[in-house]
Amino acid sequence: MKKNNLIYSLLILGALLFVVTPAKSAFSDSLKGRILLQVQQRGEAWYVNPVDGKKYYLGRPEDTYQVMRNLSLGISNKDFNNLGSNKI
Amino acid sequence: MAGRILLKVEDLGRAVYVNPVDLKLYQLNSPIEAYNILKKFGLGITDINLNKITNGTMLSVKKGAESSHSVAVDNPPSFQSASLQSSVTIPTQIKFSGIATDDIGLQDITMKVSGPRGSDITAFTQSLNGVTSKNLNEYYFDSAHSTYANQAGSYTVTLIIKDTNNQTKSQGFTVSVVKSGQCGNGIVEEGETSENCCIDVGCYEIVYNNGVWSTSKEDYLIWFSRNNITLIEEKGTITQETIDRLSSFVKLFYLTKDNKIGFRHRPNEFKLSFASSGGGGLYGVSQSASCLIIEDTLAFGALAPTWENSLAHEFGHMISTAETVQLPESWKLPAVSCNVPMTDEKGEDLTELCQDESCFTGCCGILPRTEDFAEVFRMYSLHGPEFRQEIVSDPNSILAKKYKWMQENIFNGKEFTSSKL
Repeated sequence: MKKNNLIYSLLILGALLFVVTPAKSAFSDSLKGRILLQVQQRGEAWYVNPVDGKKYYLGRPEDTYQVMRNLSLGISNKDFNNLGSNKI
Repeated sequence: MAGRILLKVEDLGRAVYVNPVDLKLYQLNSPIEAYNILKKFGLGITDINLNKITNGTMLSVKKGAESSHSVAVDNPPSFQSASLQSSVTIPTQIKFSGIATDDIGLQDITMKVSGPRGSDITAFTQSLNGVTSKNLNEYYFDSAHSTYANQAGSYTVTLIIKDTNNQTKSQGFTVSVVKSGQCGNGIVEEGETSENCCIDVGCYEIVYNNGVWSTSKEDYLIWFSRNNITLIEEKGTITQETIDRLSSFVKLFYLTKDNKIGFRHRPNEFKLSFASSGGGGLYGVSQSASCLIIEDTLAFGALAPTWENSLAHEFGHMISTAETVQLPESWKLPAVSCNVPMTDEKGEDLTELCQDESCFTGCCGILPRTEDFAEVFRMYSLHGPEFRQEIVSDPNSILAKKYKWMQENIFNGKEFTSSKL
């Protein structure tokens, strides 16, 4: 009986993971590349990496530098110039 | 590309953000600027919703994984052609030249000053807000600044730049600060001409040619005249026999002209006396030679028979002393000349003067700071071998420190091997 309970529990947990995971992924997908401000925490900033959909802390300029350094995409001048003229 | 941060690998690794909302490109010139710009694009989010997004770690991201190019590395900040004038007259301000740079961004710049006012005095710190290049001509050393300067002497001025990743770079500059109107400091200052201060403007050739000092009285008269120093001979006209005294004075001027300390005063009167006796004792001799400082006037005397020693001693008073420099510890003790053999210009041994008990007290007692300084100056310039013999057994003695200080700060390293100038 106990063995059956354990199996049921695992099945339910698996189902929950199945439900939650896609929902979480869809949510972060919609925010890829965005900067998020944690309004309930003094407006601390996060960057949602469009590659992996994960969030990265931009708390200080040093953190921003690490994000720029590690999550950026190298681009040649030629490719950059082909991006168009929407440069600010 | 929306939402990506692009690194222009062929353009110093400059970063650009592709805003996913308007798809425009925003330059992120430095971490601080990037931080401020990115926050402007922020979308408010609650903690609950934020927690729905998995935390990323930098370790999980392979650096430059998607690029065939290398990602820019944060190099330490650096100076390019940074310089500062090596001498300045109070109250002039001297500007730095050159540039401070950093590939990512400069955080701040600090200037520290070490000198007569103290060590490592912070003159200023200015935030640079992440700029990648800063022209140094916006910054200057103020020779009249009451906190870190405004005293004649040698200063070390250090600029320290820090980048946004807290990497630092410093560069030091040596500056000699002199008071204005100091004829003989090696600097051509306002009002100085070849007629009233030829030692600075240029007249070495009048008394010194091809390694030989002039023996012409006339040459020295010209030299004194062109340096605005009045010659007074107590018994009347100046004779040829005074020539050695005059040349010794001029030699001392040139030997100490480039000292790091500068002159506290310079004489405008040189009085030659021919008294047969110097008075009661070694210091009596020196003290009886006049060195009267009244405002900015310094009357300079040289007294027989130990005129050259007197002259050197009084000359020492012209060099800035405790007023402008931090002298070595216990500079007052003991007088240097106590146990050093001395002779006058005739070769007569004067050592016995120091053996006399009453004089011994005078010689070896605690001297006023400026008198001790003048004596050390005299011993260094006229009795180099004896001075060195005195300190050779204990290089860490106070005397040794005095010798070294005099060598480094007054004579630019030059040492003397004879007891004649």
